[in-house]
Amino acid sequence: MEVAAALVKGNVAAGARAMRWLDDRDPRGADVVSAVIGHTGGAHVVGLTGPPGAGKSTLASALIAEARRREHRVGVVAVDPSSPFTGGAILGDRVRMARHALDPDVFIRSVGTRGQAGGLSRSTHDTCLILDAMGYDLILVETVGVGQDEIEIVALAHTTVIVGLPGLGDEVQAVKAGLMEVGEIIVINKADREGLDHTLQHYETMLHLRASAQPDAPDAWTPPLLTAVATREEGTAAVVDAIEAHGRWLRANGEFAARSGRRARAQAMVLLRDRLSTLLDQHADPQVLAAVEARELDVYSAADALLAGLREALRRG
Amino acid sequence: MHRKGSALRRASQRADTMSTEDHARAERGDQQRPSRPGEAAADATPPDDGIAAAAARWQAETRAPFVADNPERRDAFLTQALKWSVNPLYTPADLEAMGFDYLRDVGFPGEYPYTRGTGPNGHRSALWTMTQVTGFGKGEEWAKRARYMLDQGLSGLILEHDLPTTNGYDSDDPLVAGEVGRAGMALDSLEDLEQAFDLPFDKLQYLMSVCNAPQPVNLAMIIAALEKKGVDPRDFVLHIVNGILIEYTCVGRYIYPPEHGLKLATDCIEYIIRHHPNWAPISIIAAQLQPAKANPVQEIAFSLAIACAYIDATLERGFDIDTVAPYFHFVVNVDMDFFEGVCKLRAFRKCWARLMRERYGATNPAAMKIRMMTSPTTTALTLQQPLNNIGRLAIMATACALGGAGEHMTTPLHDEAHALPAEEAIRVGAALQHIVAHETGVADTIDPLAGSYYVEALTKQIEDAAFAEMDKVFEMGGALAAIRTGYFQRALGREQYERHRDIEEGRRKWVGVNHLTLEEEQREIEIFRLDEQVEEQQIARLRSLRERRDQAAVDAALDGVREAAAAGDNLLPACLVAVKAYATHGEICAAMRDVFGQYTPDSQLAGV
Amino acid sequence: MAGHTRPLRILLAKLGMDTHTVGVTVIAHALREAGMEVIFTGLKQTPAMVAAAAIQEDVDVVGISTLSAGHTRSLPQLAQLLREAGAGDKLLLAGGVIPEEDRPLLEQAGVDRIFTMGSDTREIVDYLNQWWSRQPGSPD
Repeated sequence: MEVAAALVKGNVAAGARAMRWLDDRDPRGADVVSAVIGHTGGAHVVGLTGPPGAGKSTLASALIAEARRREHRVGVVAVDPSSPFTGGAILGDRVRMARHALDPDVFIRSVGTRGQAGGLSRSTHDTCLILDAMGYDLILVETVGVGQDEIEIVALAHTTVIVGLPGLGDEVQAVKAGLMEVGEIIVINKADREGLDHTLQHYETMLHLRASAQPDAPDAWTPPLLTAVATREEGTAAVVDAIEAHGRWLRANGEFAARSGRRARAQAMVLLRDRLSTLLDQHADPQVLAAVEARELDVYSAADALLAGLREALRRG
Repeated sequence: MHRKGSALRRASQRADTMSTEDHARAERGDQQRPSRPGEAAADATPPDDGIAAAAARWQAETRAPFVADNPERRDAFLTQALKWSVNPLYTPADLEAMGFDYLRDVGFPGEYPYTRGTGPNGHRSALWTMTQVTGFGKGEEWAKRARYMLDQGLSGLILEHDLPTTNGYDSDDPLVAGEVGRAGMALDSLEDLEQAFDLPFDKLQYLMSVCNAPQPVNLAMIIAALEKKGVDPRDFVLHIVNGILIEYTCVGRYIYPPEHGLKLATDCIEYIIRHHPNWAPISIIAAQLQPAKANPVQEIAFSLAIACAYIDATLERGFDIDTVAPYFHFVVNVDMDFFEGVCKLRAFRKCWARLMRERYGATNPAAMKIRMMTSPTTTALTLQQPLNNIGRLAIMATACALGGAGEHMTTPLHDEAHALPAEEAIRVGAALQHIVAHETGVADTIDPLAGSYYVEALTKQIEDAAFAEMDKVFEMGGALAAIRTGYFQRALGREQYERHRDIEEGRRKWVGVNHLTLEEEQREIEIFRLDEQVEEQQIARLRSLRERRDQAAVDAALDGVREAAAAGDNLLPACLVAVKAYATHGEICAAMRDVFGQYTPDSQLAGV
Repeated sequence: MAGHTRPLRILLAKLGMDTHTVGVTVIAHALREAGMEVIFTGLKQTPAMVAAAAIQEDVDVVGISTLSAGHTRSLPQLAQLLREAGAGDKLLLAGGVIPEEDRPLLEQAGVDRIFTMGSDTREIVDYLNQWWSRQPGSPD
């Protein structure tokens, strides 16, 4: 498999093409994945999430710069929303990372959500896997930042960084309460703006509530609350410190491999659902559906009948 | 009145922060189009008023039966940019319904609120100063062309620089290969300006320089070059545009983050007020917002909110409003919708006067009189059938004159839609203003369209909507906040897309583009092509300068620039030392970059 | 013909120092409205930056907007870089102020299609849709 062999050697065009195949559900993509799986598992996947305007892309750009100084090879998956009406998207996160455009050790991929809820795209997992196989040891995944329901990143990433900003109303930040339960690093970006103290207090209170709700464990990870001005790269080295520290903590506790494993398991279930859904569409008996439509059959009986039909089809192979 | 107020608020919401068409689409379902000027009067039960009642009778008895037999040629008559509905007829009743008060809303020329003009005698004592844009290639080429233009009867010049210069790079920077001297004059060092200023300074009364992001460097170079030429700075007016905030909003030629951009602009304003009080330290080029498709309301509101950001920063340097405000200057474009153009200029004057009095408590009349240059817009011109553009320019120049023209009018050239201007076009462009001024009579009485029911209604509507929009920007923290959050950029992006669709879908007819198009048309017109050698020569001269100059003095001067930047000092003195030591433009810009950083905005693509 | 299970991906970039964004903004919105994924790389790009982005993103189409005269150098350079990286199969489009007399040079250098200033966005969308429908889709 030419593409697989090339991408594990770090060939950029090959890696990019594999990502396209996976995006397209081209079967060659699946072949690449099974060919390169032995080269994966080493990358530290870091999610960046937070409300719109928190400066996630600018922070990502500063983190890339710092990580490069520490000789990490950095992969970036930048997710932007697709239009729910047309499916189109304008993906502009690269703009803020333009200074890394010519660094061969930085690979940036922009993806649209394409109807996927949860702040990620369907192919984000696959894209991370390919980046991992290409030897990018630090992978930043920047989520959409629509303001809610971005919990998906937690299932994907080893480390979730929550990016906030001063002065945003409590009600907006409180939407992130769900994420606060799980975020491992909190960064208040744009810390030179007014309202920093108030915002820090707000986050401290939430972290305190979270700590008191969890059972005491001597080796538990304590989420650091950091401040940064990403445009000037202030405080961003400390964020990379925290990311690396969390990586070490995960490995020391066996959590690193466990999280990768849980992620793979979840992804397998996603693929299974995907395929079952395709099978259902293929094998749903049109006569049964017509009967439901004509109100000759109730929906519960119809579902039973359709499932029986699917079982029969699967038995026949 | 209550109904009209809410209509205006809705109108101003067209410039809301919806970032995508989706939001617009989602809102379209439940939000009616904003109601239009005059509709309130037409819909309401006619007040017990002779004219309104008579107008209602005319509508019912005379017009309605006619229209029933002769349907209107369009579904809706809308103004070009605002897309406000235009009534079939305006009468005194419309003005009365909007609470129009002649003395309060219009008044007299040369008196508050200056709707009828800032001068007491219109253009009867003196015509506006007639100018044209120029600036190509190397310094000496610019001088040659500038002399030609002065010979054509122009008394003012505009000096534009090429993109490497305006973005803060030297001509030999690999990033700018192929751009040197292309869209303006290349400026690498004081030597270039020394050559450019080989001009008859007795004929030249006024020079406007456009170089926003590196403004302190550019200003220092001009001051140093004038000194070397022995020109008395009191004998003519140097006018720097110094318009960095509009660069962030829509033009894109920025270098440093917005707060530093504002700081550098304020340095220049402060330096000029203190050292060259007869010069002009700032222009708010609303004429850059217009091609980015700001509608007249946004043009006024965004420009004035941006002016307030500069004013606030300048007041912090220890000046008072009555000193600072008279230094502000605006450049305003007029587009093809004649009445939107005329009314915008009239409303602009009044909005500025009100803003200075109401927001800042100005008392000096000079602070409340807006200083303005007007111009027909290049965006109305077409690549197709370029001679048609002469007609368009004449109409727009007439609208400028009828709207008050300002102290200066500048006319673009009819072939600009394609590329850089050619000599024949310069002659025609200069003649055009003389034709409007001397042959049409529009400059012979003051504000001749005043009192037109339509003109006064539209003027007032624009004023009210602009104030509502401005309040919104102030609420979000002013122009700097609106730039940082992308509010301006998104508002313009939406307008750009919608107005483009108006043309594609034929809602607006544009001759040569979607109306009266020619099948066999040659789209090529005469264009000004720059000699390829210019770049090589420019680079050669720059490199030779670096060999010849005192490098130790340059290094020390650049350190001085860095230190002044880090200390938050006014950058002008340090820049003057550096340019006189022949530090290059790009080197000085880079020294400031070391301290201020480089700006990569959240979204460089307007409206995304 | 197999259908496409994903939207067309197009990279839009501005080469050189020219920062006029009205044209590229209008086109970006129109393509998004037409269901395409538009990747914008920002202003002041060099051919090398655009080529690197086009390869990493593995876009189907690269669209360059230019309003200054540098296109006679930068566009051929970009086409060359794409070919060298084995990405010569990407459709390369240019738009903006491009005189007729520069067309042959650019077309010979590998620019697939030139849309001059004021081109109807529907024409661009149609062109891309037709091109996209001729590209092999993914097997089901």
